[in-house]
Amino acid sequence: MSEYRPTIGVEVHAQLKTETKLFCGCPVAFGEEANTNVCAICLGLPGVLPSLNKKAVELAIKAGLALNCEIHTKSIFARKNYFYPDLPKGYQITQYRFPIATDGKILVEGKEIRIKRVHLEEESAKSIHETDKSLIDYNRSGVPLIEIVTEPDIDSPDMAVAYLKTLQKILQFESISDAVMARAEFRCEPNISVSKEEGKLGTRTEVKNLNSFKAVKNSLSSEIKRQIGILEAGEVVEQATIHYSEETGKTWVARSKEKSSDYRYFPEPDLPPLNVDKKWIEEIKATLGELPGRKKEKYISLGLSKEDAKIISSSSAASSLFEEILKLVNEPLEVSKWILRDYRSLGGPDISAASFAEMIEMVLSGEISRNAGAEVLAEMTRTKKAPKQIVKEKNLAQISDSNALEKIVREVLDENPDESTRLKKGEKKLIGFFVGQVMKKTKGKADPKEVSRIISEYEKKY
Amino acid sequence: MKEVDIKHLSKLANIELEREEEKKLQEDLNKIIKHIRQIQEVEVRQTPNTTHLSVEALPFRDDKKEKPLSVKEVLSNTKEQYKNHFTINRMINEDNT
Amino acid sequence: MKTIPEYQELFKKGEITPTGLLTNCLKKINPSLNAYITVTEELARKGLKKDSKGKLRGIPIAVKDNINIKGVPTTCASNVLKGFIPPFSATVIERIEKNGGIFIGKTNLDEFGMGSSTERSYYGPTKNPFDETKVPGGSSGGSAAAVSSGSAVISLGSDTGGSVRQPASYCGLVGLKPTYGRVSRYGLVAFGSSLDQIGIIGRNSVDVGIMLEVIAGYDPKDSTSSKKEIDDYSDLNEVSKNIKIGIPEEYFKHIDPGVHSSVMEIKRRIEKEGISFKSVSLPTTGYIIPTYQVISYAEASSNLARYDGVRYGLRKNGESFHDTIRKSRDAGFLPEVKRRILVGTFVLSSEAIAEYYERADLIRRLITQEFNEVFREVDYLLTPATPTPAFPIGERTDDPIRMHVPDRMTAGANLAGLPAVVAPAGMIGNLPIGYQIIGKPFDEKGILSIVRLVEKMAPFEGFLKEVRDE
Repeated sequence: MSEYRPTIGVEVHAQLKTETKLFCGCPVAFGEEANTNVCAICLGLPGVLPSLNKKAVELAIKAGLALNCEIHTKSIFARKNYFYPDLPKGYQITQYRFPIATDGKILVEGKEIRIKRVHLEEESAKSIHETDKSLIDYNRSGVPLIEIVTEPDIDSPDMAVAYLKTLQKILQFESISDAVMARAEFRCEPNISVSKEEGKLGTRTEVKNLNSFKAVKNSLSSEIKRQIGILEAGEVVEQATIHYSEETGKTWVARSKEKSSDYRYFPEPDLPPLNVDKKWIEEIKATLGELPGRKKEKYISLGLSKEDAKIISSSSAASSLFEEILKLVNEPLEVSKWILRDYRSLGGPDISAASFAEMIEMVLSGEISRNAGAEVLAEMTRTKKAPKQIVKEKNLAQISDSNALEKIVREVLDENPDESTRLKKGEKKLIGFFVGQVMKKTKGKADPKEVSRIISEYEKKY
Repeated sequence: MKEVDIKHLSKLANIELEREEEKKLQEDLNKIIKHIRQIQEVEVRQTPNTTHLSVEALPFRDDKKEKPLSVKEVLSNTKEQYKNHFTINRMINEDNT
Repeated sequence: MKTIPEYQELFKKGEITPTGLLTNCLKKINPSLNAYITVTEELARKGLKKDSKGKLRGIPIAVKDNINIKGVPTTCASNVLKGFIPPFSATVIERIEKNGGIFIGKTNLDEFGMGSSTERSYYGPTKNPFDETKVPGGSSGGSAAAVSSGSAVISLGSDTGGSVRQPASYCGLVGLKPTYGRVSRYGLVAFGSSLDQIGIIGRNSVDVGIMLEVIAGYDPKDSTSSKKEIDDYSDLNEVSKNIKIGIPEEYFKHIDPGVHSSVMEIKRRIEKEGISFKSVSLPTTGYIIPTYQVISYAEASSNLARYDGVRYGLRKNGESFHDTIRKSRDAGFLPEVKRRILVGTFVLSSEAIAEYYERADLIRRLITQEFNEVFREVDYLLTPATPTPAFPIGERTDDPIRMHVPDRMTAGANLAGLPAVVAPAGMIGNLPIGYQIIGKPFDEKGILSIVRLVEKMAPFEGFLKEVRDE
């Protein structure tokens, strides 16, 4: 008996990072008092008309480009008609037949996931349900969203989660969306079907109201089991909307699709076609940063380990600092060590690449020791002072003057007659011991290489 | 021509109709739809559906904040309110989206 | 009868005062005509206190009650908007205020603009000032009756299929529907968004031109308004002898013989000025009404979805939230609006959209194309404004098809987005009838100039029987 294979597609709604709503100048904010960010337009009062936020269009194009989509120079807004108290006009302005971007793809763990479409639409209001009534707050009404729809290219719940994590990272990295799930800025609605036959899809169901990646994974696993159970019992899966309970880990049918509304889509007469010129698309393209995946590969080619490359590339702050420093100090391994160890242990402080590079240069030239460098970095974070100034103030400069060092070496040899005798007899492993003693005596300011050289020579003399 | 399903339409349009009213409207609707069916006679060349006659491009608004209405103004046209929210019958379990 | 510039001249000379004119207009409000839903005397007096030097200083203006004035109820003649007071003014209202105009009241209409007689109003029918047993036309019937009876110098209406021009014809006035996009729709309560334009009803072309100059032009709040520069509409004295006017034969079929001869008389007079005419054909004219119905009903079904009783307007609480919305809508709308919402819902439904809405949209393109082709041969079109004079109140109220008959002369300009003006052509018995000039996009100045030319030849002042200035 062959196995059932799941086929999964995902719809994501992501909130665009704008100051104002999609069709009016009301502020987009989180956690404000109810109905304080509302005007006649997002309240749908009689007589209002929408006017389109340019930034939202820019971010939608950016999302399309980041997902390798074709950007359409002409797209059309449409009305999706249905009644719900949180929908103030009785229709939602969205894009239907002619979305702004289509036919994209991204790589997720080496597998290509095709992106069917990206389109702009407006958010509905928020309702709070009390025991006897529902309360409606229109602050969210009209907040700009993009909907990102994949082709059914995902074959496991784990892959679905991996896709979502990659997508979330891209949106955050490119400053398209903060994509915080807990704030409903990134919402996932997977659809799923199972089938035994190669090339034949089963009836799909849509899973709604998922608030975490864990819920996505568990709900899909549960839904696969539910659908297989139905098929094994010789019955048919019905098209439906599925809900998932995090408490029980079970999915259930919320409503059957056949009763679904007829949305009566038609072109929004209040908005002429959206034209974006090629030049603007090119300008937006130029603002795209490199995506984490591509960055990681680049860092590996610079000689970083896979693990290190992954850590740096996954943070936009760390990777841009890394690259800025590299422009000044072209020592990828050295710079990556500083970023991975010291910068991260300081919690990723806001530090200028120029100062950071200056400090690394001082270490590399032997002006200060590695330990002193770490101290300089910590001090820079606290005081924002220049590395040179810190070195001076704290007297961290390395002693590399041979004469001075030789004097100290002699002192140390005198202080440790036993070891000194053994060294003279050729016990080379004691070089390390003496270097340590010199470092101790100089409070770490001696240049260990130079010290080591002097002691070796001393040993050879005998 | 088959009769239009007025029950379905009134549900989609969210208008509750009383029995008598429904009967009368059913007749009217049949008449109107018979009348507008005339457009089937016109030969049309298929042109791309854009529905906008204007040749001018959609203008943009800059992403600049404007002052919203005061909460008092927002709620000024309804008595059905509670703690600065609009209120309606409890919406849960009544999914129609 | 005086024009707005003449009033400004008299104000300047001190022969009459704006307050005197307002008092005069208020006196002429005739309750039996039922032209107004709300009289805004206080607002008008407040407006007079502002020291304005604008083109409309001290001119009492009536506004159709589907255009928002901040703080004044907007009813759209519907119970569904019971108690609704908008917190903002339409762009046209703001522009008029800046030019010193004052608002005397909000006028009656067919509910949401859906009708051709101003009988289908929650606030009762408006009557024709020439004959109170006849309709004033619609849906801007209140705005026409107000100007015709002298309680306002000029008024604003809205025109989706002829709602400004047809009442102008029935009430002996000049009614202009500008090019789609010439005037901002922001603050006009939507009926058929791709067809709606705010229009002007005045006593003469000069007044209409001045009002257009004030309200026309790009508005960032209306994405369908045009960025094209506006013309100097207050100067209507130039009509080139080289223009050619088309007579579309389809518009002269099945019309009252009196209408036919009156419009032909207008043609003869214009010809005497040395302007030539040409017979032209617009073959799809016969399908204008059903096409208009499909598109306007579809858009209306969506535009009127917001009236659910949740945020404003009539609320009838039910068992569930859906029940509450259904009950509120049922109690709020009159039968004609329900009919149009239901048919509009049908033509957009998944089973019917291809055969109805999308097809109508294609026919609309065909109609537009026919106009474009004709406008390569001629510069303007002359047609009757309506097939007959005003009909008796009650005659067509319940007939969903016959009510649309007058639209067949006017709705073509809405479908094609063209500017069109109606002006008096003569009298049939005691009732006035009008002619219509349709122009190329944005040629409002041209069509108004032709009306001005006719006005200068034959003053039609006699039509305005109730108007006495001082």
